Amino acid sequence: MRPLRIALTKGRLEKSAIEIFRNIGLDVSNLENKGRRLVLPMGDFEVVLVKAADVITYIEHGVCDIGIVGKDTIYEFPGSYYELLNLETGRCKFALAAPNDTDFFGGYAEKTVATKYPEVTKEFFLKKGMDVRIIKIEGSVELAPLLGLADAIVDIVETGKTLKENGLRVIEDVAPISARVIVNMASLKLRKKEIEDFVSLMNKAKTV
Amino acid sequence: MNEMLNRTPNGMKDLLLRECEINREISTRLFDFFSKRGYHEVITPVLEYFDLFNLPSSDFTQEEIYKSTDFDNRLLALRPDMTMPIARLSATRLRDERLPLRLFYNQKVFRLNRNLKGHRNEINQAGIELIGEKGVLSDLEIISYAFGALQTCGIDYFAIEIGHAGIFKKLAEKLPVDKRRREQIRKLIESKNYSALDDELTKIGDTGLARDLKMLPRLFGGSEVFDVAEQLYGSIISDEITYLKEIYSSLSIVFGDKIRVDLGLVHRNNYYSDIVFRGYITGSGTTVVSGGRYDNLFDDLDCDLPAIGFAVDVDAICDILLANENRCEKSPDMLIFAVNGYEMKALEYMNECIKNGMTCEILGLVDADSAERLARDRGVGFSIVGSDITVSKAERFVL
Repeated sequence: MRPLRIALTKGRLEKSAIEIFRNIGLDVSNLENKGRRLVLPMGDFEVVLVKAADVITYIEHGVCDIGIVGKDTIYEFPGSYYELLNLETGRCKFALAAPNDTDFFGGYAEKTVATKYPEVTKEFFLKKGMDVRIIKIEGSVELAPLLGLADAIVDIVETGKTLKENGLRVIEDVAPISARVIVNMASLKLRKKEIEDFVSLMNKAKTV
Repeated sequence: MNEMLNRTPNGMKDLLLRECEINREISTRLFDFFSKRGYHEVITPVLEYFDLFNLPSSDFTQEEIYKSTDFDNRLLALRPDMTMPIARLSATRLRDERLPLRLFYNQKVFRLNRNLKGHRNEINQAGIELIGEKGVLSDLEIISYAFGALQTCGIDYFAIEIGHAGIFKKLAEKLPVDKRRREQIRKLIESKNYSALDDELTKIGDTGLARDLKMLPRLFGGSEVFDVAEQLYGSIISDEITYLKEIYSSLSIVFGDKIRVDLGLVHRNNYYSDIVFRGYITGSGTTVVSGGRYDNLFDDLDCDLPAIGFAVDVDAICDILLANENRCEKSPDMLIFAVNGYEMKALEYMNECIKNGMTCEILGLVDADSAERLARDRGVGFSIVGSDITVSKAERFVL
């Protein structure tokens, strides 16, 4: 049987996940000096470093067994997989933000919301029973209300500094975000012990 | 050229050569397996009225169903599932047949998945439904056949897990929550979202059932989970646990550790009423077998019939079998070349060879030399049919 394969989100979550692996006592040297290799051995495991949304794709198809990915990506790309653990690192939130001097919820005119996360935004306003126009923006979303394209934005907020500098303020929190451990459904059933042991080690070693 | 001519629609694919052969082979084996056990094949239309998949007990969303309309502007659906059409058939045209009905199908179902995620939107499903019977024997029969179906396809490494739809239903009834939140909790159990489930249930309270329900998605594996469940939930679901234990121990005598339990198995299909089960194969990331008992489904069709059945994902099995073999093209035993004017003779000769148990292919090449070269390249037998001799050459080139 092939080694358990872990799909790890590149970038923000990468560091804290490697920290957790080290706390467990795994040899993370390949992850720290990865060079151009894409599949990195780590003890009895194999690790691949991929973009957030790809973690979900690889897990859903079962070519990777265990994935580490932000809740933001899970909200945006729902699918069939188990979400076994909240690693509590990479904490931030989705928030609705609008220019300081405006009343987003006031008036009867249809509102326009710019976001990189159309699914999250759609869900949020659906629950509120509010019909809004959603525009997907790929880059700095803060720009859309400044240029007059949108009345508000839904985006990931960590410190709120970028918002402040651009004259925006959070008017409502949409959902909290942190890193999660997801697992392919068939893998969990066919390799229960290995996966459960590893997930419980991660749970003990997580650095809050 | 119109660029649409270059490709198949999203999620659709052509089955070629070996792929097609394996698919056919599996279908044949399954047909054989089930028909020897008293199951009769039915073929239902690809298009059904949309309403059939929109019944209270069904749980398909608008978005995942391919739709069209008929001349009277009524909404049609490309069937996303086989259980509903078979239930319709049983409740109407087969209504007066002697029970139980044992039906087998091997047909395509269609689901509109999210684009570019690599999922198939056209899925080959084979399955059976046993309608009009309930009890231990019929449940054991159907689950044993799920094992048999995989084994007959040549799959060795797999597991089938059983659960019970009544477990969550009964436990959730005792929770002081409305329907919407109960569904939210169900989804969290289904996706084994331990942390979100913990948060959600803690909001209800950190004592009694709300606390114990947190354990439900964690209760999967072997027989040890029964003991934990009995301790945690005791009398509320004792009937279900006792029943599952009985089924589990019967099946494990024959199937050993291939039989597993998942008490947190909560199928999204509302129609499942009692025992449910799923199968997984090593090497495939998806659920390959899915089934259960659906005694309430027929209520929606003004009929009162107990029923149990399952479907096997034939495409997933094909993928596994294909990945495990290296052969890609199957060669005939003999290539036959016809000299100008001897075409019909060549075809006759081919029939002779076929009668003798060979597989043949007729060649339409311009000259005998290149035909011979082709036979040598492919490493198969070669014959020329022409002039006064029927066969001038019948050599076998083996590389």
